[in-house]
Amino acid sequence: MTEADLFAVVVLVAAANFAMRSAPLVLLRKPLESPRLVAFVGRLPYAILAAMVVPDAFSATGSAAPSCAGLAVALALSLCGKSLPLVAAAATLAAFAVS
Amino acid sequence: MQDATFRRGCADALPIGAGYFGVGFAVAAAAVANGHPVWSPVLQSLTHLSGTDQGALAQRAIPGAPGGMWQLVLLCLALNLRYLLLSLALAQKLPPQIGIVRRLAVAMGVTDENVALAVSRPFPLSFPYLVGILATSYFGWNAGNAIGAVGTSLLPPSALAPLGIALYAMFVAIVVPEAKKSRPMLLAVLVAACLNAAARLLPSAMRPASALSMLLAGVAAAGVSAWCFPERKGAP
Repeated sequence: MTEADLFAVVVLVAAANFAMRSAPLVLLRKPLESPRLVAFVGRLPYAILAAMVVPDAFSATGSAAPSCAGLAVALALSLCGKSLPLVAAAATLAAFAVS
Repeated sequence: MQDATFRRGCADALPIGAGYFGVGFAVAAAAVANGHPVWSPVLQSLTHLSGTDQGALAQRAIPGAPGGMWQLVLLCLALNLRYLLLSLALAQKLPPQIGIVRRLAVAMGVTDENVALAVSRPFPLSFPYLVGILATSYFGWNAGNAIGAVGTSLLPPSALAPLGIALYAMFVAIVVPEAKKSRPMLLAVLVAACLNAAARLLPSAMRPASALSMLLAGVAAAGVSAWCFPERKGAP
């Protein structure tokens, strides 16, 4: 691996990323027909987000107590229907307070 | 009421920008600490906008280290395969009058967090609103990467540690309202979380890379939920 190889990797991955990001947006402009496919595509981002949260979030701040405090605050405020920026700010403050 | 303006897009994406700043800082600092030249994380953040592939590259694509470039390209491609699905999810919510050039601009902003935010909005999406999300998240990610790469000594990591929770709090704030609204969504979310947590308990030789594990858990959970509870037509 030389520095030129690294540059090539960075450029190739950039191109691949953009192709994967743009192809469905540009090519699939009609709504999907299959109810199962619609359900799958609609739920997938949330399912992946949930997998990103559990279990990594419990160690997000480097230690368990502030992470759990922040998560608990986030969960409680989200259940009460609070807005996204408020939830994030309150959870971060809670993590700061406990750490 | 709720207009899908550029300003509102920026405001709604502020937690994403803040979270991306913290993660971007950490990823770039790790890359430089591992022996990457400073241009590497900076160029990656400008062109990739992907924490998963940059995290993987930070540990591997080090000049002077053994190993070929093609396997790294393939690894990143596999890690980012979900952009196809995320882009498809966003395409379902995009008004048809948004043309190809604008779609290409929007495509650059396709990330897990941005798409989840966009598709969860209760109002119709607009191009300015999506550009607001893209601008805020892109700025946060690139500022974090640049500062992390150029001056890892500028801020002690301990000062940034509590910021790590912001991104996750945001995920919670996006997922919880949807899971509250619909039982099939709740099923998908719970199964994905349980599968990913269970994968972490596997012996290390059998454990998939964390990004792959998240992808598989999400695909399996959404698949089970969609198979058992299909959606009515035209209502993603």
